[in-house]
Amino acid sequence: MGDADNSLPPSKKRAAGRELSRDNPGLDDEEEVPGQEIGTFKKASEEVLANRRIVKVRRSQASSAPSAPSSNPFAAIRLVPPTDSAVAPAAPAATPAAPAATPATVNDAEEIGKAASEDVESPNSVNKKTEKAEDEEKEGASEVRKPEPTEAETPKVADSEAEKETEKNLLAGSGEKNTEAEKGTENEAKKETEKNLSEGNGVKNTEAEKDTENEAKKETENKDAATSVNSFQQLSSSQNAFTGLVGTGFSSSTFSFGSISKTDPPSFPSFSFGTNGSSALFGNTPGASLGEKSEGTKIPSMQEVHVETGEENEMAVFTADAALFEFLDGGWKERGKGELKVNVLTTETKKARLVMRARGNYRLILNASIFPDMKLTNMEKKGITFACLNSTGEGQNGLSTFALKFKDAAIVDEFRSVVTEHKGSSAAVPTMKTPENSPKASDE
Amino acid sequence: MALPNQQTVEYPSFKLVIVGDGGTGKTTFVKRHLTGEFEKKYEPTIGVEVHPLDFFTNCGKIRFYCWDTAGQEKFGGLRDGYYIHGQCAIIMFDVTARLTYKNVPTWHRDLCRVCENIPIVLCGNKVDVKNRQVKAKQVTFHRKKNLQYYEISAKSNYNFEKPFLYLARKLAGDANLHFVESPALAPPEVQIDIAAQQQHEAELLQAASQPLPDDDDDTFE
Repeated sequence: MGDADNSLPPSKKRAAGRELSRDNPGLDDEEEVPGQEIGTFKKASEEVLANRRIVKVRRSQASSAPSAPSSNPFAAIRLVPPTDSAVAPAAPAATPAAPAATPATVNDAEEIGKAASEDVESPNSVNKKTEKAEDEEKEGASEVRKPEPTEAETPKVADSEAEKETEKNLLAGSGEKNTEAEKGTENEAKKETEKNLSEGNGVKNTEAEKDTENEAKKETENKDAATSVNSFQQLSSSQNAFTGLVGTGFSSSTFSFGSISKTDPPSFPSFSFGTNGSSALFGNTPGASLGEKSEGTKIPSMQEVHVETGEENEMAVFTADAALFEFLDGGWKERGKGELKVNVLTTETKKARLVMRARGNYRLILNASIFPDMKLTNMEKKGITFACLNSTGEGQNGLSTFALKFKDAAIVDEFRSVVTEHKGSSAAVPTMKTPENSPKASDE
Repeated sequence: MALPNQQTVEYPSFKLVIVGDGGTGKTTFVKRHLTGEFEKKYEPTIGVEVHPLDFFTNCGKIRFYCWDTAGQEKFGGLRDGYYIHGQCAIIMFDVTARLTYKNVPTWHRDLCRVCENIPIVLCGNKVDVKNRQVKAKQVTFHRKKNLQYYEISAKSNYNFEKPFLYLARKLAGDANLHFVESPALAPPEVQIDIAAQQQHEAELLQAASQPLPDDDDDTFE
């Protein structure tokens, strides 16, 4: 049941739209939304071929009239290489039409121009017109080519050809092809006969053509994007997140891709959907990830630097392997294993401190001054505990209880004696300086 | 790639993604580096936890933002969404659980789908355990995929800095890079008032009576 329902219209995939419309009791909305989509969808499919060919025609025009593409935001973007190749044959086809039409009387040109401008001003039938215009272009080109050799000898033939064209255009209700031909005639006409009317027509035509060009190009842009999506869909696996987008309808997907190409044109050709990962998240930021990766894989400036241990002016009077623990929340937490040192400044102050780094990563885990009131307490099994102010860089600095565990009890005793020996020297009162060592060592 | 609320640093920093089955020791491994602690209690990671981890090298300081991801599928969160912009990775398995090694290709595939061509280290953790299920000879996945393999133990600290060293070398493009002692600046003078000292006496007594962790008879192997 559900499968049959789902399979019916492609718009079913737009679950969000459906759910929203269900929430809204209005049935009209529900019907309209998919209806519009289907309508645009169908239109697009019909116009694909016609509009694409129209673009070829327009491109040829754009090359002849450079002012037109400047107003067109899409003019700089060339999504599909075939259009370029298609422009080339189209251009010569259009240009011969101009000399063919030049011999025609100015009146003819005026009529043509009026017809063209009138037609273009009614934009409702642009698509139909463009289709027909394209057909006519073919006809016109073939017609023009035939008389070309005899053009100089019999200008009347050309006239008749032009007249035929105008008739056809009038009948077809499309002067777009003629506007091209006429542009040439206008230019020629300006040179030969300076007529304000013809100039005015020419301006109108070019303006009108700009509009139609924009429209046509927009449409073809969408078509191009759609075709690229199609190709992408073929390349991608069923797992790909973008296939769902394509299925929901061309209108949304093409616009999203179009916006990407607009905002960042240079990245568009290099960004191939097929090779990239299937996750939609990755696809959201393709440029960023690529850029970051290229930056991140190599550090540009990683040069050997001078390393300072901070112990340059110190002498280690005691070193031993140990494990460091910190008393936190009623229990011992290991802080690392490594070499413990008792360092004494080589300067006059003879200040002493405990320094310990973890083996392997050389991280500083203990860095504390030895102070006169420091109390050392032996623990069961090769351990000794004391309170100190550990400053290993970041983190809160306060008096905390630590414990060291050594290999055997003999090292514990040695450590104790060394610390006791040096703990008074740093904070000793000057007057007590001379007798300090012996009583300090004994009082423990 | 740092989290928005994390302070940026002026020295090179990299996003390191750590993946692997649940219970293989990813969080314990990170915590071991972070605080020195060896966490025995198993608390599954939910989603991801990001920790900055600094190392001093002969080429200056570098930082890894360790993205410690959930190994358990039910706590996976965004899953491979966490891999985005990863610049290096560690895949961890447990040499005492064969299944965790069998799942390594899956982790690797998911990772490479998002992060192409990043340096990756394969880590077989818990090699301190006596009866292993995955012997060193049986670990062959890294050869096909051009990964670096290390046998590590977060408990005994065996090789525990090697994965970071390898990644740092790869990221710096310098095979001779090595870790150096982090600088120990002169500590502040201890100013102890009597009250604080006395208050601390109690804790000292309590601490002294509390036995040190006994699990490390192998501390000085």
